Amino acid sequence: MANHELSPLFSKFMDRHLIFPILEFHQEKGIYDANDIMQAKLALLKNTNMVDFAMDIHKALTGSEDVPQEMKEHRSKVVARLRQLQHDVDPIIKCLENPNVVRNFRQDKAFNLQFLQEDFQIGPDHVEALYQYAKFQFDCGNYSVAAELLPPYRTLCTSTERNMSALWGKLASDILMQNFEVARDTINKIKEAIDNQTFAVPLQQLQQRAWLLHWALFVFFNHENGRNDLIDLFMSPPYLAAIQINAQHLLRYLAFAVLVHKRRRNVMKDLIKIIQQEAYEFSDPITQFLEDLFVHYDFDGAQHKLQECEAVIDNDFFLTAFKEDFVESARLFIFEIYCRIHQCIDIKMLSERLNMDQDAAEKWIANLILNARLNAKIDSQSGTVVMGTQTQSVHEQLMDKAKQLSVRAFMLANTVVGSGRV
Amino acid sequence: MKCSSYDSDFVLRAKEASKFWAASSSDEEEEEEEEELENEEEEDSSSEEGSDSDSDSDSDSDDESADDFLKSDGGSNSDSDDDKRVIRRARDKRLSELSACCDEMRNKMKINDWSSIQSLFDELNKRLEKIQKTPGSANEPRQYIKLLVELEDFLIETLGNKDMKKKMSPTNAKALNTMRQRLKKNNVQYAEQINKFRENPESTEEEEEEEEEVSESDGDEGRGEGGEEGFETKQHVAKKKDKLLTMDPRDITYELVTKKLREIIMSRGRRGTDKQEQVEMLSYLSTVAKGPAQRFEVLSQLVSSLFDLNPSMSAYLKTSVWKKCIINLLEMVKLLEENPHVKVDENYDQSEERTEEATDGSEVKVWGNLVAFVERLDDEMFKSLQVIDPHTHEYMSRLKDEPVFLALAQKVLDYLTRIGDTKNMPKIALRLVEHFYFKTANVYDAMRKLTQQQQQQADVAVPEDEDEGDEKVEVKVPSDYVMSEDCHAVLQQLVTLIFRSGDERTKARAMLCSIFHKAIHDDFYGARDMLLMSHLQDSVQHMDISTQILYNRSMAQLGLSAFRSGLIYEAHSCLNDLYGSMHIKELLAQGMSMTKYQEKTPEQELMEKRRQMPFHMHITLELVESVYLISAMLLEVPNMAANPLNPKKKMISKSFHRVLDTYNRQMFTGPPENVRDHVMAATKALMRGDWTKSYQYLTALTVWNLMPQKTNVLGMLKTKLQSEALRTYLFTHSSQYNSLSLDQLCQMFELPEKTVYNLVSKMMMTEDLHGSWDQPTRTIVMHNMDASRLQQLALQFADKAMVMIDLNERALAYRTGGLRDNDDDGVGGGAGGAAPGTRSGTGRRGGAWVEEEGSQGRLRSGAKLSMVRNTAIQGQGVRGGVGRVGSTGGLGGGRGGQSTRYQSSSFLGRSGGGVGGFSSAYVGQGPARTGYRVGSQNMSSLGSYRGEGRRDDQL
Repeated sequence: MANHELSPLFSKFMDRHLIFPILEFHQEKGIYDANDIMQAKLALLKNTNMVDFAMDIHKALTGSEDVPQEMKEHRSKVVARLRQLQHDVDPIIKCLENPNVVRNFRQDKAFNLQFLQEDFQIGPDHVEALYQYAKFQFDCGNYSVAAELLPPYRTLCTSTERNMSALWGKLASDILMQNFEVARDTINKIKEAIDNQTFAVPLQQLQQRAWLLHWALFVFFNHENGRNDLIDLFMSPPYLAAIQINAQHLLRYLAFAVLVHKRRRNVMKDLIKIIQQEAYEFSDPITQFLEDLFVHYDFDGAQHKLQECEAVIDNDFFLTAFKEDFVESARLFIFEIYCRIHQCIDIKMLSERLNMDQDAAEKWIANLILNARLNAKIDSQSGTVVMGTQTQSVHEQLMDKAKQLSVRAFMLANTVVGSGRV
Repeated sequence: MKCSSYDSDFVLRAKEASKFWAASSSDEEEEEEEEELENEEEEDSSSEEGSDSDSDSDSDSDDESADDFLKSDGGSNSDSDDDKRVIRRARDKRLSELSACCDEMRNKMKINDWSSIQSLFDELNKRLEKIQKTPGSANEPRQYIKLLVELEDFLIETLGNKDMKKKMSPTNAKALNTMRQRLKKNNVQYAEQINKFRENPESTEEEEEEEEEVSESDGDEGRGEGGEEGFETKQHVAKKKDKLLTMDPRDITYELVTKKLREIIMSRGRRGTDKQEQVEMLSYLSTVAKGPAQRFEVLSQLVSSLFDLNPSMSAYLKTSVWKKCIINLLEMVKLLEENPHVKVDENYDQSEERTEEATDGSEVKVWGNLVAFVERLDDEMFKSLQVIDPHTHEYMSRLKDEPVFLALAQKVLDYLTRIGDTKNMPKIALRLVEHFYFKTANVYDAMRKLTQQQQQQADVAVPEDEDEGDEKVEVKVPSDYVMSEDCHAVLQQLVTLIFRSGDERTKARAMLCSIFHKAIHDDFYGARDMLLMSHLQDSVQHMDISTQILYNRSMAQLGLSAFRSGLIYEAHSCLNDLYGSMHIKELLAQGMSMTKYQEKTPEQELMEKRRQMPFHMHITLELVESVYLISAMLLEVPNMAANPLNPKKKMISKSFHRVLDTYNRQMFTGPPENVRDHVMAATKALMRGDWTKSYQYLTALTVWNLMPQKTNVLGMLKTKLQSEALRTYLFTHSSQYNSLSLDQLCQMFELPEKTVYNLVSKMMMTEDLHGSWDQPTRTIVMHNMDASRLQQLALQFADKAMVMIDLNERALAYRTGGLRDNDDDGVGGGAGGAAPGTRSGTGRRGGAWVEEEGSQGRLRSGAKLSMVRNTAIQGQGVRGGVGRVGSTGGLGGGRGGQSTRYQSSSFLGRSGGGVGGFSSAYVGQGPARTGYRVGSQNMSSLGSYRGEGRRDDQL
């Protein structure tokens, strides 16, 4: 795939509304032909209710004021249906607006339904209408309305399947409303719901997980603690399986998150293994960078890949905001590993490696030494960094072991004697 | 005494002869034989006066004559077997028995064995009684009298010959005396006949013959009335046949054919039915049958009768018969194609009366089971290929019949698809798959060409004069059969079909076939993923043995494919179980190895023979062996170098160590001859770090010629050898250096600087090599902390003491019930062995334990035949075991086994969603959709978007 663009792959896993922001992003970036993007947008909107928007795009695309007949027809249909639904849904919305009613709701859904039926003559038909209305509003682009209506619907809905779709709808609306805090909760709810589907077909479960993983990208790369959550979610075994089977390209985001996150180094080993395993399915500069660095110890290669990574990140809808963090972390990683296997390093060479000029590099290293993250000294005369060796001598090793031995033997003997007495 | 040794020899021969005699029937031969014997007798008597040496030569000549006898007899026997089986009458049988007895006696007479003569004489008299009891033969048969005369003469002669009498053994002399008395007594009864015979032997013979002829015709009539079952049927059929065959085909009506057909069906399977004749009758009927439905019925009967011609299940159907079957089946399929109103129903009851063929095209049901026929044909072909010597022309020509079969199967499959028979479609598809899966692209192309060639020949179609109609049956590939150009596509299509509607076994087999196919086409990852996602390694132990063999074959191919793509570790683990079992031949069903310790019953052997793979499907064992050993070598040599004190500590390949030990134990090591020697010699060289030698040894192997992309593989091997040699060298000699220059290493191992740098860095990171780079001078500086031998031993001692304390603690904990509730430092796995299911989170040790357990199980069950299954599975058990233990441990959260845990959990993880993945690949996506998700209707439009996305990429 040219320049490692992933959005074509996303389309399989995302709702059409969610793809919209990505398309917008690409329109700005201009890697794709603007006309093609417009076409794609149009195709995307065709089955939604955002008719006016579609018309605008059509006009922009063709450059004429004419709008095809079918669009007009579609528009009138949409409007008619909206009226109809509004009429249907009116009683229940009114009812729900009453705070007293909502306060009386309980955990038991059957009870709630009965309660509504008795007090307000609201039956299952109305509840169904509520769902349809919310969906319709969502399709029209009124995400806020949908996001508002869906939670009450969930308290009334009895079918698990409907419940599930309501959750998805909620997540989509939250994402599109940029309510990432709420969306995060919704993600957890969906995750729970998927995992608790005891009788689900494995295939379906797998697919839902893959969707969730994709949708979650919106949240995790916008929420402040998102990367941490991302690592947690992606590395949990069922989701990892979903990635490996269905959506290997998500490894890019996992790799990115791990690299950027400072305190989650411990998963790095696992991540490298997965990347190696899936290398035949998916490989892009970011995963290759990790591979070069942690598997082959090929610093030149890693350096080269790092530059490619920057280009990729620039063009990625989710990652572009974190480019600086990435470069900094990557640099640190390279340096750290480099130091571990060298005892004497030429600063000049190092600065080339790190894409810095010599003085800056020296400053940078000095900072690292200051922060006690590095056991090294700078030999400024010869322009080298000399690493302190931290090897343990055989003698010491032996002593450690023996000490431990005697302690344990002592404890053991004590226990034996003690138990004998008792 | 020489005589006695000859004795026993002769008894044997005589018995053989009598057996043959019992089978032969014609009277003429009997006479010839008699004449011969008479001649011999004359010779005998003339030489009788001779001395000792004479008798010796005598018996020699007898030997020869006996041989002649056997030969002529055998000939007559096969003759009679070949074309007609004559039902003999009881009297004839008895007579022949009698004459057999006479002959035997004559033989004994020649060697002066009186004790045998005595017992034979008794038997002879018994036989005579029986003959006399049968109706229509009151007087004694001519042979009997003749023998009596001869016997008398001989007796007198012997008694007269004093020398001979003296030489006889006491038992023999005694028998002679008894014989003399008995004969006297016996001959009184037949004195008259004997005299008559002596007067005029010739005339009596003639008389007798005439008499016999008369009696024969008499017997016929008598039996016709008496009603002996088999005979009557035969006659009946013969009569009817004549009638029908001679009738003008136009006069034969629908009913007549139906009646005849029913008759044949009724007589099928009964004793005494002449199958050959039935076949002929049916083939005639098929030409005169009225209407497609009837014709189909007759043909299907014909095919099953053809199958009946095969006497036993173990022998294969003759090629000519097989071809006839296929011609008929092709015709049946054609009939069905042309007449869609004819429906095949296996359970259709034939006794239902139908008087006229429906002409209006309404639905007609007929009996028949195309699927079963096709399957049977395939089995027969398989069987014949098993038996035929693969180095003969016959084998080749048999293989050339494959396209026809494929064409037939394809046609039947098409037919089944048309009528929508989803139950049987997978069966046929599987048969097709099993013909395709092992073919590489080259072989497939060759076969496609062959098919086209055969089709062209069919187009030219010179009508060949079919001589005998039996041996030369030409089958033509139907011209409308097109073999697809792309083997993958064909296979993919068939396999998809099977996955959609096959049963468990069919699916598993199809899966294995496509794994095999992917593996030989160098798609290792695809094949591996299929294997893992299908969970076959867990379930294959419950399958039948032939499926397990298929599984083993796929594993072998998978290993080879991994090796070709340079994945040494994977190749090793694929082949480890196969090679380590020591029964690789059986596991792949490519021959049977005779082992000292296990005896197989004949039934077991037969079963095993039946499972053998035909030669053209074999996987070269030598190749498997060399690939396995080389992979093991590449893994083991650096590993052994890393642990110089205890090379068997972390053993990777047990069988490799076994081979290496044997090699080391040799007193004198000659130049390498077989695969093992070569690899071992290479190992030795590699251990010294001498990669060029090692490479030379390996390239000398001839099996590389069987490897596709030979040069690539050898190139891969070379780089692997270089880098492993470097690693081994560093492991062994790093303590001797204070510093090492990068350039020098590059030079030594002819590796590019970058590779050396990467390899050494890696070793530093994993702390295999205690040293670090000095970047400005491009050298490796060793931190000489490598222990002296004393220190190393001390460290080892400390380790062992540690283990001992661990065990003590454990023992105590076991007694007191919990010294520490959860040991977390890895040794826990040791106890895990005793009590599986401990919570200790040590994937690694636990895994190791399971592995041991697996190999033990293998040893235990190795002796049985079920070993095929066991070993095949245990190997997988091992891997599965690692996975299982690892994952439970992993979830428990032990840090000790983290690396292993990951591996295993990923293994499981992959398979966790496995069912989904596997079906998603083949079944496609089809979960329920609801509005908010990307629904199915949305999907299509998104598809267009995706398409555009791609196009954008191209722009």
